[in-house]
Amino acid sequence: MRVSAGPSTAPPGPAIMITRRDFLKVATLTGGGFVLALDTRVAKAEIAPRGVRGPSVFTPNAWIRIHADDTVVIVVDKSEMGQGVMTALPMLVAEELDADWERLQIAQAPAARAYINPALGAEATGGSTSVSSSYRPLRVAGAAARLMLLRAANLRTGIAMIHLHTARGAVLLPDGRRLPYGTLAHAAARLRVPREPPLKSPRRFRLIGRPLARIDTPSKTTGQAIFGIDVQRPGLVLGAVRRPPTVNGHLRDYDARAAQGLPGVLALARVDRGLGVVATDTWTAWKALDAVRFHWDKGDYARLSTPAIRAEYRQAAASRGAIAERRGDAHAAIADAARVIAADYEVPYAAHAPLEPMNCTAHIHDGLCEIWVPTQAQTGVQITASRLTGLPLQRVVCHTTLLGGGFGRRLEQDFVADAVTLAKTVPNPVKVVWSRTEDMTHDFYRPYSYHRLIGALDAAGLPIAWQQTIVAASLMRTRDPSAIKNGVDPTAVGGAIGMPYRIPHIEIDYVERDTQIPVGFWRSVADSYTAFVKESFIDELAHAAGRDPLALRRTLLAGDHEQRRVLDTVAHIIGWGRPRARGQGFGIAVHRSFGTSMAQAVSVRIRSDRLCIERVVCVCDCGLVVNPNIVRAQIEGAVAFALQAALKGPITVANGRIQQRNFDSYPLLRIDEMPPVDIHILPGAAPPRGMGEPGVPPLAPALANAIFAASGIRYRTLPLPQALP
Amino acid sequence: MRMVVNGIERTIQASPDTPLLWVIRDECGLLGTKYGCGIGVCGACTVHVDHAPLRACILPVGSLAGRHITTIEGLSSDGMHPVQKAWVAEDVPQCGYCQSGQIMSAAALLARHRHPSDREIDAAMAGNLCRCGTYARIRRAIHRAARACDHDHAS
Repeated sequence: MRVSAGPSTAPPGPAIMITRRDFLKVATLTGGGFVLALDTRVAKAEIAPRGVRGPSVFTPNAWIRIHADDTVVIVVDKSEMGQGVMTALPMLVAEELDADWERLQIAQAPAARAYINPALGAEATGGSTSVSSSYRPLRVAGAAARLMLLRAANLRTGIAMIHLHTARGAVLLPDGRRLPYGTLAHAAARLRVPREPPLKSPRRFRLIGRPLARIDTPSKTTGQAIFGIDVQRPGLVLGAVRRPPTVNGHLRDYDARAAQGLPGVLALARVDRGLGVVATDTWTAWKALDAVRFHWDKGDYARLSTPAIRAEYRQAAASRGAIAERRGDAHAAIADAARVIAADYEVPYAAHAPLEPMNCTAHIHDGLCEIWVPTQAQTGVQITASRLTGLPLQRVVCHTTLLGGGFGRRLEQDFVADAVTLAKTVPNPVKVVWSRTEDMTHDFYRPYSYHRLIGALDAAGLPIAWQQTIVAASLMRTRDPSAIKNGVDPTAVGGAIGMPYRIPHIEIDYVERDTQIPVGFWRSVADSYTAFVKESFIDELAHAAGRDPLALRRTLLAGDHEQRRVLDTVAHIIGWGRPRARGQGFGIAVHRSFGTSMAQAVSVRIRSDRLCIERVVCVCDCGLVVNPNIVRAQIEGAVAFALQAALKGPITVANGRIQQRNFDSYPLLRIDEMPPVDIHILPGAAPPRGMGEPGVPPLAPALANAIFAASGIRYRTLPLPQALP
Repeated sequence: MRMVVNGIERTIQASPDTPLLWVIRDECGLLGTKYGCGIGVCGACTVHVDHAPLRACILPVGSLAGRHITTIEGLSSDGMHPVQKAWVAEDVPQCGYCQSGQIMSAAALLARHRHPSDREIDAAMAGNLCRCGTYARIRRAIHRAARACDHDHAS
């Protein structure tokens, strides 16, 4: 498996983002696309691009390019941020194409209309949609190409198509001869693309379902993988930025005389709310910013603090919010109930903190704005650069590099804007690299949320009513307010509404409270807090009724066989109901998000008042599994991500300033804190569903429930304590 | 000043206060060593200085005259160091950004301890943060590399 130059396929049909002709022009100007040097041997061979498009290149669609020399290139149109798309998506194409997996080349897609993610309405990677949204289109792409190659072989040999077969990148003739796809490329390129080619029955899959090794792994063990921070261009200069210490402050004035005198400093310019500097190298750029005397306008929120936000949210939780969901009449049922249980829950702000800090390289030249960036949002990059340069969208060329972690942070455009703004000050390409402190203090954080819950039990101890008020900032208020319907932002209440538990009276209310702290999409979005609340409070109701938490969930999930199955399996594996050692406790949680049902069970032991996590068991049903090796890795990673947020942090604010500035004050999970994780993937029916995010939500409640089982103490606020009273 | 980087003696132009990390990346053009925190707590910039795993982001280059620096690019000529082979066999990386530093720390650990226990692995690797959560695979890969080294010694 090789990784090669970017594709030269043009998007079919009329294009909004880039017309076919303009795209070809741009592709020609920029040398046929970005060379993603995952494998240096191949990269060197590919730097001199083959013809952008010629009669010898068969490009039946935007994802496949077959050259006469038998090079087969598959284009990946999602960003590789560790979740394995650079392996999983080519598997879908190669399966139907019957390509030779070992000899494929992989290329990263440019920004183009053909690559718009149908699940998101833009070229973007997020929402755990990469495999699910590509499953059918990429198989159709592979199947169409295969059919055309078969037809080309039929025209050449006169042998009827039903007697022709394909395997490992060639058409097989009845006499045993092979016609490699490359030898058919020229003829196949002249045929019409079939619209609805037949797809393989899953029983005949040869790649899909296998735990194939990731193709990006070798380059990631030798230092050769190119992330955004590693982009090199002729004449490259380095940029750095500094923003105000307060969340909505501005740069009023600055004295840069000392900075301008430093050797290697090339330019200073204002960027959005702050100042940027361009220098010959990164260290000089950072030193120059340290030499500037800044006069910040601290903004209206210079007194903002976490205790004040908590007080405001707690007060807001008493108000009647907008109704996100109503089944029955929860208020009346609570008024008449045999027993009522009330509790408040809180989940703090959290940072994405990918290990690669925000960065972007931009070069304005020849009527183009060319950008190299680790981004989850190529369409957004085009819009951002077009707005700042005045160039039309099709004159913005976006090369996507590998991403050193995404988690939702790289959907944002602030770092892209920095690079484009500074690129306007010099003729050179400018690479802007944020310091860790800029990254940590200017994130778009997972929103803080406050939840007020009232549950009612009937005389038999079964829940009859659930009323929940969610107070949280709105992600869509600044992004797309039209998504907010009747006062409810669906991205703030996901995972709370549509509760699978059969409770006759349910009301979920939403109170929007914005605080000026920038908020964004953080791996699993609202489910990261709604699952903690739902799965903790259902545990509380079970204990209040004297019922077993597993048994109560099973009863209430009577209509949801999928969630019951993952729950039963996880309970069996952890040994639910087994006698426990002194100080030991089991906790359980189940949650469906991004289409996938995930149950997790945690075993903890409290020794000398210290919390020890003995084991985590995960059981999921994510539909058809394209690559079990990658699915397992995603769950392992999700557990680590969720554990970090359950045990560490939080992000806090004082005097308008984010108080965590680096990994010393915002620690990530370490290897010695990673518990053993058992993963079981239940066989699910096609099609595949989400996998990047669903492993996050159940972890925190399963852990909190385990702590309760071990200690009798119910924690309703994250992070959970690691030392117990 | 002069120092030896991956076996090649180099004359360094950067000012003495420049951290080794930025000399490696911006002046030597060796990009496998990563910036993560700048304060020596994440381990993404781990390199070997005379065989000791150190954090290049907090080492002023002026303090390193005459020292031998090994980066991920110098660990092996072909990516076939036992640790790198074990990393591929266990398919460790996700995003991959921290992995150069992880591999450099693991290689230094195995040079000291032929058979590290889980506890010794934890102690040696706790300063290398991975946001993607590849820790279980890192542990397995280190054990695998230890076995492979054994095999090499035996044969």
